[in-house]
Amino acid sequence: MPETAKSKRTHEYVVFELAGEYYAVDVSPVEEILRMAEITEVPHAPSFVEGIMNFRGNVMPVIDLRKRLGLPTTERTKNTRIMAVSLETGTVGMIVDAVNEVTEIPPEIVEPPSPILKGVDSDFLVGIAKMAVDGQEDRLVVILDLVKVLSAKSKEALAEFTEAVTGSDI
Amino acid sequence: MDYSEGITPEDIQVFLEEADEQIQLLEDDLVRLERAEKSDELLQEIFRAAHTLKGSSATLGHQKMAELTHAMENAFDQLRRGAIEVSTELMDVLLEALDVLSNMMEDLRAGVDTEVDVKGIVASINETIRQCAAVSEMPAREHATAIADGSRTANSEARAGAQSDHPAEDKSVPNGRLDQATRVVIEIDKECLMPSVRAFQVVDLLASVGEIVHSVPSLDDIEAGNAEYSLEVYLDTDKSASELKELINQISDLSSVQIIPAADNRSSTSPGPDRSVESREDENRGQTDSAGAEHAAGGSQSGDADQGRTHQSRRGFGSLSTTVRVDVSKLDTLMNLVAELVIDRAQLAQIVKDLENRYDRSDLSEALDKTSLNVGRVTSELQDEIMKIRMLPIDNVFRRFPRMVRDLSQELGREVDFIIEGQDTELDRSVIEEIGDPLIHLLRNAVGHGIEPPEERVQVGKPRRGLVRLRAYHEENSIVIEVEDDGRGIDVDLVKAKAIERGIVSAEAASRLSDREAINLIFVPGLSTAKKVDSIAGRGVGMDIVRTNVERLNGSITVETVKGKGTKFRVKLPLTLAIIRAQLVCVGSNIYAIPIGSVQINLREPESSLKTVRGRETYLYGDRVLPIIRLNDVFGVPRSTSEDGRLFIVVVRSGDEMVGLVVDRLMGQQEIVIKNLGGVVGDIPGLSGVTILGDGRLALILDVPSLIRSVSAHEYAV
Repeated sequence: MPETAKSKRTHEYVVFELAGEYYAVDVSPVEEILRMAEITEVPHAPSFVEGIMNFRGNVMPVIDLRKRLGLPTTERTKNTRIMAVSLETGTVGMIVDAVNEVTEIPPEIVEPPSPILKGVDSDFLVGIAKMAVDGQEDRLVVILDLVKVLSAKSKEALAEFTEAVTGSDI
Repeated sequence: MDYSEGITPEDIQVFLEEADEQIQLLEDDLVRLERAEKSDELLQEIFRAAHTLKGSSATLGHQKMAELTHAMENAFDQLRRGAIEVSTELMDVLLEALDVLSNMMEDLRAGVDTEVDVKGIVASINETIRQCAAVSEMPAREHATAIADGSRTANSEARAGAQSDHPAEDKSVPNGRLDQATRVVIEIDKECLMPSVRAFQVVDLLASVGEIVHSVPSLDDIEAGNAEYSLEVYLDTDKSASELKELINQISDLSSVQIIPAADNRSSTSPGPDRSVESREDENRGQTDSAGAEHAAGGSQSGDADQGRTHQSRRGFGSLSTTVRVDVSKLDTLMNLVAELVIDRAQLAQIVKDLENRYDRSDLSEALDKTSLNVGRVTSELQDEIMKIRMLPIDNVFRRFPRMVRDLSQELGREVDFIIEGQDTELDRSVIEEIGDPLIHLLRNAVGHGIEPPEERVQVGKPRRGLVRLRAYHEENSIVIEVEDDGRGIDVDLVKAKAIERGIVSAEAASRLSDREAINLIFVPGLSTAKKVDSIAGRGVGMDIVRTNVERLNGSITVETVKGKGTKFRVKLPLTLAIIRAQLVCVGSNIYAIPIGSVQINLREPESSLKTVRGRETYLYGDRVLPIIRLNDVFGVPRSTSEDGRLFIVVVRSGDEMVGLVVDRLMGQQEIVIKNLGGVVGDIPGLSGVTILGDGRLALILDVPSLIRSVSAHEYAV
C-alpha cells in the first residue's frame, strides 16, 4: 500500500450483506451485533429512521441502512441483524440483511477507490477488496467508512455514491 | 501573565472560586448599602471582602487586580470610618470597578492576558473619594471601627509602611499584655495551596473581634504573603474560646485550631520562657523549621505537646468544615446511575410478578419479593437524597437581580423598590441553569413596560416608587416563581388589536376570545405592544421565547393583569428535570407517557359525548369546552373502535389551557427517567423525549404544551 494513502494497519472488519452486495466496516466502533428486536416506531421521524430501541438500558436510534443508502427495502429475514455502532454522538443501530463474518482484511488486497468513482463523494469509500467470503472465493467487498456514511449530511451524495458503487462494474 | 513564583493552575482555580464569592458578596452588599441599609456590620463585611480580595490577588501576583482591589479597599475603608458618605456617584464607580474586576476574572479564567486598563478606574475611584469626603465628625466613627477592627492601627501602619518591618508588634509589646491575651494557635493544612491567604483570613477575622497584640508571623509578613503553615496570634478579646473557635472554623484548610485562654497563658509563659524554648529546641531537633528561630515568646507548635494543660491530639481539631466542594459532573454521574437503578427497580418488580405468575409463590419467590421491595425502598431513598444534593437555593439565580434592576431603573428613569421573597426555595441545578434568562426578561419587562415613570404614577394617584416583587415558593411537587409589578398592567384590547394587525388572529376569532384567552396572546411569536422598540425589553420576541424556555423545562407560565393596577407572571416548574411521574397510555402499538404535572383528569366517556364545533371535536368538561385531540391522528395510527363505544380521554393542561387527548388505552402511572430522542431522530413535534419502562419497552413522552398549542393555532387561524 503506498504511503500516501491512509495507512491501513491490518485490522479486523465486519463483513455484512446489503441488497446482494458485500460490505465491510472497521470493527472498532461496532459494539454488538443484535438479532432483530422490538423497535419502537417514532412517528414523523426521518424516513430512514426505523425507530428506537432499548440497547443496554439506553435509547438507541435504529437506521435502516438500505434506506439510508437509497436502496430498495426488503422483507426482514431470520438473518437480518442490527449492528450497534458507537459514534461520537452516541450509539446507533444499523439494520443489515445479514452479518457474514468478522475477519482481517490485509491492506494488500484493498484496492483504492476506482476512477469511476471520482466525481462521487468517495469519502464514504475506503476501498474495495477481493476476497473469500463465507467460503466463496473472489467476492468483492466494499469497505465503507461507517462514521462518514452515518453522519453524511447530504442524502444525495450518499445516493450518488451508492449508485456508483453498486451500478459500476469494478 | 506573570504571576508570583510557584503559582500553579490549581492555585488560580482556588483563587477564582473564592474571588467569585467575594465579588458577588460585594455586589449584593453595595446594592443594599445604596438602599440605605447602612450598618456597621455591612460596612465591615464590605471592607473585609475587599481586603481579602486584595490579599489574594497580591499573593497571586496579579498586578492589575491587586491595584484595583487596593483602591476599592481604600474606598471601603474610608466609608466605614465615616470619612466619606454613600452617594450614587460613589456606588456607581464602585460597581463599575466590580465590573472591571469581573472582566479581569474572565480573562484569568480563559487563560488570556488581561488587557483591561485599571489606571482609569482607579483614578475615578480616588477622585470620587476626594469629592465625597464628608465634613462629618470623625471621632464617633473612629470609636466604632476601633472596636470592630482591633488591629486597625496595626494594619494601617502595616499598609503605610509596606516595605519596612513593623516595629510595634515584635519588640515593644510588653510581656504583660501577652499574659492577658488569648493565644490562638493555628496550623494550616499542608495541602493548602495558599497558606498566606488563610493566615490572612484568620488574622483578619481575629482582628474584628479583638485587638491583635502580637502575631507570629508578623502581620506584615502575612500581608506580604510570607506566611507559612503555622500561625500564632495573641488576641485581646472578650470572646470566649469556644466562640473564637467557632468563628475560626469557618475558614477552610485549617488542620488544627487551638485556643489558649489568657489565664492559662500566664502560667505557661511567665515562669517558663526558658522551659518553652528548651522543649521547643528538643522537639525541633531534626526539624528543618527555620522559622522557629525567629519566634519570640510565642514559640512554635511542637513546643505545646508537653505543656500539660493542652490537648493531646492536635489532629482531633481538624478544620471542621461541614461542607464539601463537589464537581458538578460527579453529581450528574450519580444522577445517571440512580436513573438506571430506577429502571432496574421497576424491572425487578416486574420479574418478581412474572415469576409468581408462572411458578406460584414459594418461600424463594417470597424472599425475592421482599428483597426486591427493599431494593426498591433503598433506591427511592437514594434517589431522594441525590435529588436533594442537586438542589440549590434559587438565590443562586436571584442574587444577580438586585443589581440588574437597580441599573435598569436608573437607565430608564424609573424609581423601583425591588423585593425578593423565598430566595431559599430550592430546586434542581439543571432547572436553575435554565430559568435565569426567562426571569431576566420578565423583570426587564416589569421595569421597562410595567412600571410607569414617577410623574405618571403620581398623576394617577400611585406612590412615586413602583414595586416589583420576585417571589418563589414550593407548591406540591413544583416550584412557583412570581414576578409582580404594580405598574400599568397589560391592555388586553391593545393586545387583541395587535394580534389582529399582525395576522395572528382573525378579527372574528378575537372577538370571541375571553380576556383570559386574549392575554395569552402575548406569548405568540411576533407580537409586540411596545410603542417604540427599545432594546431593553425587546421587540416582543421575548415573551414567546420565555414561554418556550419554561415549557422546555416541563413548566408552565400564566399571567394575570389588571389594567392600571399591575401584572403578575406566574412560572411553575417541576422540582427536577430528570425523573418524573407519568401517566402511561396506549396509542396503536406504541406506549406514550404524559407527565403527571400536565394531567388534569382521566375520563371514560361515550363517543357520542363529543360535539363537533366548527369542524373540531370538543368535549364539555364542567363549564369548559375542551378541544379534543385524537392522538391516533396526530401519530398516524389508525383509529381503533372500542367495543362499548366509550373513549378514553386524558384531559391535559398547560397553564390556563386545557385539551382532551383521546387514547386507545390507559396503562397506569409510573415514575420514568426522561431521556432524549437524540440527534439522529431529531425533534418530533408533540414529543419531548423518550423513556425506558420497567419491562424494558420504550415509551414516547408527550410534549403537552406543544400539543395544546397546535390546537390554539388552529383556532386562531385567520
